[in-house]
Amino acid sequence: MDKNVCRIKVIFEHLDKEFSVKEFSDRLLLQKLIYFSQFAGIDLGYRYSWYRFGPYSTDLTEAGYRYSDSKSSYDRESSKFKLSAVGRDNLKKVRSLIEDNPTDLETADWLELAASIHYLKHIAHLPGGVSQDNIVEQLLSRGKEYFTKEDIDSSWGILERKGLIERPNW
Amino acid sequence: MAYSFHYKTINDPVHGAIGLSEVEARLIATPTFLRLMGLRQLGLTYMVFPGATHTRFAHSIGSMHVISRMIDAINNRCQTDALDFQIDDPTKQKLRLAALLHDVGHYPLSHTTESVFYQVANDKKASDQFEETDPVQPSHQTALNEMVSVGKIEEVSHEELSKKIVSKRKDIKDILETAEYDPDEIGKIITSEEGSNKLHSQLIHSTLDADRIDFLLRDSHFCGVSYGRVDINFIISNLRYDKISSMFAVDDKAIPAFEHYLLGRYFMYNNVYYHKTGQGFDLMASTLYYQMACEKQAVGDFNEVVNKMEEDAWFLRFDDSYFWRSLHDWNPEHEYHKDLREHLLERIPLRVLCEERKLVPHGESANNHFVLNQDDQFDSRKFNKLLEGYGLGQDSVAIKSERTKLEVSPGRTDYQESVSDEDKRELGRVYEDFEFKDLIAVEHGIIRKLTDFTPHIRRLYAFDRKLTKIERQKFKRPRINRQMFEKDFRKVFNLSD
Repeated sequence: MDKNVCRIKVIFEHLDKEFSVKEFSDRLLLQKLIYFSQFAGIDLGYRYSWYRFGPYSTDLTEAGYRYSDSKSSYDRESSKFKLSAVGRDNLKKVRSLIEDNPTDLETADWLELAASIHYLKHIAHLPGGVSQDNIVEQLLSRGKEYFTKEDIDSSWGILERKGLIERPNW
Repeated sequence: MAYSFHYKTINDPVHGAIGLSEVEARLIATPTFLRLMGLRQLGLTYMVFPGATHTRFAHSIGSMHVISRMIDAINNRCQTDALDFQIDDPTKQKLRLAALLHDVGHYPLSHTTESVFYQVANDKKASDQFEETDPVQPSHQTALNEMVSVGKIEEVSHEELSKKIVSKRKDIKDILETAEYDPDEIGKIITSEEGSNKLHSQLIHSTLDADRIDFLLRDSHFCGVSYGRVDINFIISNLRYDKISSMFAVDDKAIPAFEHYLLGRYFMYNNVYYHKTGQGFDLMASTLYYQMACEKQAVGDFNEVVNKMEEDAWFLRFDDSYFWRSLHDWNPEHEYHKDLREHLLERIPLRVLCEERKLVPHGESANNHFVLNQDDQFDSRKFNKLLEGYGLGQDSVAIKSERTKLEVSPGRTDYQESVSDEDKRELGRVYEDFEFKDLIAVEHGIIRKLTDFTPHIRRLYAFDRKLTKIERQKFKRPRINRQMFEKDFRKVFNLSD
């Protein structure tokens, strides 16, 4: 039994989201929700590298499939886990990030954009620096032309208001 | 400052004469480095391949030699091509030091107990963020299948411990600082930290790095198998540097040799590292070590190792003998562990009751391809009944699954150029048709075809604790016949022969 899978299930339940890996959008949501939950303080130990749809962790995908393969066992086991007060407090930040979506994008897509900006700003060590202009350019050149410049700018604004542009953690 | 890499010479059965610089000779003589003489390179593999008693000590020196040869080859090729790039001697020395010290943080029995450190770290993870209403008590863990594969946890990996040792253990740190090397910088090269030089990371951590080249040759040599005897000399002499990506690549004429090298690794995994009996001993040892860690009879917590790292009396004995000493000194609470411990001490292997091997298409869940799994579709009632018929309880069996590695994931179906630097390192770079590319982008390459599938092995191991010592000596053959069990297994699950 992988306890982390139980913890992920608890995080999803708390955020009123369905934990699944069936559709692409489910897997995208899994990657980005856990990405921000970790930066909010719930470090489950998943480490991310840049991939086509932004920061991605192979181990996390495997954990997702582990859940899907043994869903009923994990559903049963995860009922033995609950968030502590500190954990609940930390997830409030993630919930507010989901709710403050400034774009017309679906939650998973909005989180993809937000996580991509955050990753390029704080983790990627971009050669051209971490100015807003360079990051917008990098996003567009890394195949994210499906996001508009307006989407990127408004997302940048939200992340800035939440303090995530200044520092990586809440 | 002139650099000499021939201050002393060591003879090695794999590479021949290996030259050492003065700082390297001094490092090798430190108690911290000598500890590697007590760590077998392949853990318990020697129980199956008796020649596999080679140590991390020899492998570390070999890796240093290989990285040096790779650097010389890249430099020579740059000179021939009149390319304005050279790895200078001070950098070469740093990289040799990183290769020499990359394994100083290995745990007892190498990767066998490392998995326990991952497990313990996984148990502890985010413990202040969650509350467990009904935690499993360590003393109730009696089953062989208690250990789950949680994957590598970087923060407690042996590379991370190596980095800590290089920057904190006085003997190593002092020698590096006296010779004007920054221990932290060497540590960062070892762990390939984000932001470090791409070429350096590739030489230390990639599909074709000094570590993997050395262990493929060395393990093959000492296990007495031929799978790893690939043409490394030709591969190394055909390395070239790509200024745009800042990475090295294998020249087109050595691509077949590069593919042979990857296939050699694959066969080593299949036939040596994942050998059925060896994996059984590994499962026994990790189960016992995890239980000892839970009962505080052995250290399973990374932070505890780091805290005790500077105590010579403890740390210098934290090698394979630590595992055996702890096992001998331990008085297990449960009969189950007593039996399992006795089996391991007497080299009585677990029995493989059945085995499945599958090629799983990339991106698909392996569980859909196996009968042997623990998912919801698996009819455990039928399975338990079958076990009962053979006098086995659920705590006596474990399913162990392995994914054999070609290590050029993520596979062709997901493949696109310009993935992350880490992926690029794992994919392997080549120079073909006047351009640098990933190995799996080579149209005519055999590896390109093979990456559509991941080979998996699943085995059902049984620990037949009902046999008494006298019975074990009396029965030359195991009580449970694999052929019979597999036949029954196929019948119960309606599988064709």
